[in-house]
Amino acid sequence: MPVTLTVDGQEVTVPDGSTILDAARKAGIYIPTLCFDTFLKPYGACRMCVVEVERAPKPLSSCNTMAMNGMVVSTKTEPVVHAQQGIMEMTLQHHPLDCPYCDKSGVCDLQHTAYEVGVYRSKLGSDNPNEPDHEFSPLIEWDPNRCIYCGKCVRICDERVGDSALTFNLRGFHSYIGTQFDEPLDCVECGECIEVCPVGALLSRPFMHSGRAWQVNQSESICNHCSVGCQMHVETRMGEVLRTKANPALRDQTPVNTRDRGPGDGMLCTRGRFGYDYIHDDGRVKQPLIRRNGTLEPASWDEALTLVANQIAEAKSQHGPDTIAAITSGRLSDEENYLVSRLMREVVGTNNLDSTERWTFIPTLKTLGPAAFNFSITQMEHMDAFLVVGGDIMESHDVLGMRMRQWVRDQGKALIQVSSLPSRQDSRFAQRVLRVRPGTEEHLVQGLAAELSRQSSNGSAPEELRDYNLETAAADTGIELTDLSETAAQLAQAGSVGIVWALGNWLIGSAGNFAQAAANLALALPEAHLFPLAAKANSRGLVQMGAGADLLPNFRSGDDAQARSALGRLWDVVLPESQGLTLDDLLSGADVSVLYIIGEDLAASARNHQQAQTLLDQAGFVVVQDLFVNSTAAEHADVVLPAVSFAEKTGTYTNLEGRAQRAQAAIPPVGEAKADWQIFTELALQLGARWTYKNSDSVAQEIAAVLADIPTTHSAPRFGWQELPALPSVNGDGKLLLVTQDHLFVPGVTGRYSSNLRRLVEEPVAELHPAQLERLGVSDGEKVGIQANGADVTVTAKANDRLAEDVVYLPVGFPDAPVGALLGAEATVAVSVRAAVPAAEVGSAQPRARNET
Amino acid sequence: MEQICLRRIHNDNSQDIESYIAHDGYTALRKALTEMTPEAVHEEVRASNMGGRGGAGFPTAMKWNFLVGARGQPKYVLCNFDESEPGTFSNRIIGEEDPHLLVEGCLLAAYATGCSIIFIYIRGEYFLAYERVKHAIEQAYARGFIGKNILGTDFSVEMHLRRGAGAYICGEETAIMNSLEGKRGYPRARPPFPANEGLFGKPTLINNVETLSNLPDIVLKGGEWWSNLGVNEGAGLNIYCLSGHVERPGAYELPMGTTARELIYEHGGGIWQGRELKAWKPGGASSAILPADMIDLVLDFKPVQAAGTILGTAGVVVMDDHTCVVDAAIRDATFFEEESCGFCFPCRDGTRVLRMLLERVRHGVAAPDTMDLIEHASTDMMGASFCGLGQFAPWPVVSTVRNFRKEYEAHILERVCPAGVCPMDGAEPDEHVDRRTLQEMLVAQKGGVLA
Repeated sequence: MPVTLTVDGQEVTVPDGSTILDAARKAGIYIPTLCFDTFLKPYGACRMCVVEVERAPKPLSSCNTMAMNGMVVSTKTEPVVHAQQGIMEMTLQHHPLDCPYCDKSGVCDLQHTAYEVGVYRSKLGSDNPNEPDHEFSPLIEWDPNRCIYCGKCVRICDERVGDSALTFNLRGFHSYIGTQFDEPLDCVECGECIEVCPVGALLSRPFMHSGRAWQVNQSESICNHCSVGCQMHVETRMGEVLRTKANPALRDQTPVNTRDRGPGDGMLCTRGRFGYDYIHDDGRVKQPLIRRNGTLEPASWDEALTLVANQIAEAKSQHGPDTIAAITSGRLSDEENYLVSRLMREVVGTNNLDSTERWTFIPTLKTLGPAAFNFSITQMEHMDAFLVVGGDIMESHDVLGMRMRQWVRDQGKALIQVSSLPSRQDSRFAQRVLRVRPGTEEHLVQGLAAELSRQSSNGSAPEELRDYNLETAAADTGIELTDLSETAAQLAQAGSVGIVWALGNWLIGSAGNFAQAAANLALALPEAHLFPLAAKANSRGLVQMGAGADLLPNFRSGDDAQARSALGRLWDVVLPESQGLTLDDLLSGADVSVLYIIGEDLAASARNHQQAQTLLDQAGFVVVQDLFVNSTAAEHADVVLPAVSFAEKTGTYTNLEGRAQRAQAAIPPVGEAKADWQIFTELALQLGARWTYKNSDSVAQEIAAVLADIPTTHSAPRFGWQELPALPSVNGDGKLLLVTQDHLFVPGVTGRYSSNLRRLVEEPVAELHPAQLERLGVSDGEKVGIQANGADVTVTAKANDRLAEDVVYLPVGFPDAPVGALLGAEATVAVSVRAAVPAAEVGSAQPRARNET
Repeated sequence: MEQICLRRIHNDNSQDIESYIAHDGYTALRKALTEMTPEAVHEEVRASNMGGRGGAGFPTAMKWNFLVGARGQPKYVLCNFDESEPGTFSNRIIGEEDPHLLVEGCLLAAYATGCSIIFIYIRGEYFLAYERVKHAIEQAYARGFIGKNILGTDFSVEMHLRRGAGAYICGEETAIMNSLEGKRGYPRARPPFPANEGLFGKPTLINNVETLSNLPDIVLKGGEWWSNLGVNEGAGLNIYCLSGHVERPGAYELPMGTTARELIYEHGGGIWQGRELKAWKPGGASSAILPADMIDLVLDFKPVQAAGTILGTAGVVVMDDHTCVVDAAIRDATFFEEESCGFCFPCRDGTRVLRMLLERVRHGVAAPDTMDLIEHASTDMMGASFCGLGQFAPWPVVSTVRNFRKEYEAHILERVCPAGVCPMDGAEPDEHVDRRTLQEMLVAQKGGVLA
């Protein structure tokens, strides 16, 4: 029932549950606020929004007083204005008014509100404590003098981020913003507190004093670090990216705001907010490089492209097009993945195009069919319970993890967390934590599926699942049988269940198996939905564009003759029918004359390290197209083509729910670097194609036509059985299981070039159970050596008593600790761990290792 | 003279259950549980016309009505024993000398309003009262007055005692709930009111110690009897806490409606050392400082309110003619600056502003418009503060400006303290204390732990 009331003589009708402030703003009447934020629950602390309501004995705060039928509200009466001016004077009395030196000047709520209520100084004099800044973390700083103690930072950390890391300490005028008991800040470092600060009190330390609000340009963009697709603004000045921030339009302070806040709900995580500075890292390749006499030397674009084109043409004529292969990346835009597919298929004439999506996304798609990817985050929000399996989504898809925390806490949704590693949801959000043995996630899900399907069909499990049950699952996963049966019962009664898993490194080698187990569980439950979360910003776009050896646009299979001929008609060529080489084919020893690697550091990727080295060593000619001279380029490239970051080009990115979003170019390319779509186009032209793309938009138009012409064919997931993988074994020989997953502060290779994020995690750290460390004779902070698959990695050890005793955790993404080299082809391997000898002792008479396990 | 709450306090071992039972203790509970319906108990309270003794004087029976109508289980009784108002010590006496009276009162309230869980939130500094109430609850449990099927009836209730940690704001009816729930002691917005969504989001009856302690006699002798104990249209008895410059300070349980003159001169023995009355306060720190000529004021909620201030906790503070009102005001202002929780802007900043302005008056460096500034800041605090603390904190200050204008003019314009109390040394008060330093100081003072 809508509510009608009168505000300043104007009749306003608002939905039930609206506040007086909502009604006033709807009527276009300004009421000043300081602690109000549409992002947060009403608070009512600043008292700036007081209004007079007929028959109310005292002025009421409009932000937390519900509008009621027939209410007569006055917003500009003498007592109201007196109070607003008085409160502003009191606030300005202890605010330093150092606006000339403040980052916030120009976009400061205090400035704006003071202007609106007509107070520019305090008659009460000045009472500024002049205290030093407090450094909360390497990224976040708090200036106590500027703080107006509105509590927004404390509230957003609690209500939206879910970390509750900030609090008020002490009382009254002496209270200050800090951590509980002044412990070191322990949080996801998302910086939402900085974003929400109305004044210049909470500051981004990397950004401080680098630009005033009126000096910067803003461009709409999409965060490139994971697949959630948070909408953001890139702030630039004179061709330089100063910072990224949440799209301010999404945090619009108009209370009656029904605008879709996008997949990220208007938030960003630490990667999105601080992980931008790799764009201007000194390591950027600013012009093409050609290897001459063993060293990479600068060259012109003409030289480099001609060389690449000649090599491709020569290889094509001498060895055939199928000896040429390209590896693309889920960090490239839709347009670029579309063009690289067209380049390889039309111009080169081969299906040899693949990416690391081969290891997780593509097997999931092949198992489940495209229908399983037909979901939205909104749909996810409406689930009654979540079964989150595998890698911690607070690490891999942080903003989605934060949103899930809100659903769990505010809407009473259940969260069951299944993983072999501790997660950030365990202690305060998960109702149930099942700590499985590494690599047995699908055993657990399969067991639940078998049990639940048996229950729902009165004892007879489907043919496919009859050999498996909760007992076998308990034995395989190491979870108590009672916990498993309670979990099964909880899921059966939960209503709608969202089965959520991140397509990350933990799945390598078993993505298809896991997807089948998840599908079985979904089919066994009364109502369940699958939410496989793509890994990279455009993993999904890459697959949808058909940039895979056995893929065609719109998730159509490579051997779909109808789709192939439709695409051939559009491109006006006959497309090659030969089976393309997948990334796995390449790694298992294909004969390659030209290898074109785009946006991927193959030599440092998380898998098949040795095979990648062999492939790169044996390939006739290696082209690397990247922002940096990564390890692949440094050791193996014959030509390096400098590409640009998301901020230097316009493009479309398709997020994990299939939402295609535009990112606008914010700055011109750094140095002579070029956008990938431009490089593909120029290369195609060199090779004799007649492409006419002028910009990314013209590619986007063509994509729209292609997708319309080749629609998705739908097939829903079915029950199925796949042989469960052999259990990872430590065979009692004293070895430990190496487990890896994404690390929030180490978002892939690009993230390592962000010095902001490097401040949070300076070096790779292996985590072990304290008892295990003691057994090794290593104390917290000392080095350990980890050996497997012929690789030997030395890293600092850290005790973590939330890990199982036979597990060692090493995060991915550190070039100096190549987990991929240890893992080989598996997601989990048994490794030897020993105390590493300090450098000074090497070569001395002392034994090499103190205590080998 | 009739006594209710303080009747037993001079008995031997008055805090012990045996002594309490020997003096009619728990007979009201027995009567209520075995002879009366909850509605009948409620009816007697309605007949008593009691106004809540916590300070606001809200009709107790009406508050109970809200709770009876509220939906949600369990329902809680929350006894507000966070007595922190300067000059107020009636609850403390009951807690220390007659804790079973409070326990019985709580049980009656729970019975009448259908509550099954009772929390007593006691001020952290009330060490003896804490021990005695704790012991009383244990004894009452042991004797079956608390627990399951009390006195063989189907009335069951549990009772818990919790201590505050030294915050005045936690006596506010919503901040006390946050504190009990383990949250920061900030007040909550109303609505929702505690009767509907109180402690842990459930319907909660919050009553003061003195209010609850009157219930046994109301049940035994009837609400009407109780009501008739008052004079000058007042209902029942009230404990007036008399302190300051009087001959016999102390707690006086007198008919509600007693005048200040009678309290101070007849019961309190008049102004000490034969001096003259200069100023007085009717109800604790948050009431106005009144001039001597208002001495005939009837000390009941309505008459005091009509005089522009509040009876509050009826903590009457007397000041003789050697007192400087600026000095008196600054003591209250300092208290409120110290105790403001810091949640809302007008109170957090306003309490400090008022104290700073007074500090300058006291040192003889105040600007000529200081009285205007005090008026303005006070108006904003009263009108805009989130809870009662900030709304009433300016009263002791602004009332001195209004009632003792000449004295302020002497301080501000002539730079003289007529009473010769203020330093008037022309020094600029130095106020800046680093927040961290302050915390270190506090921790050092308390030896790192809160006693």
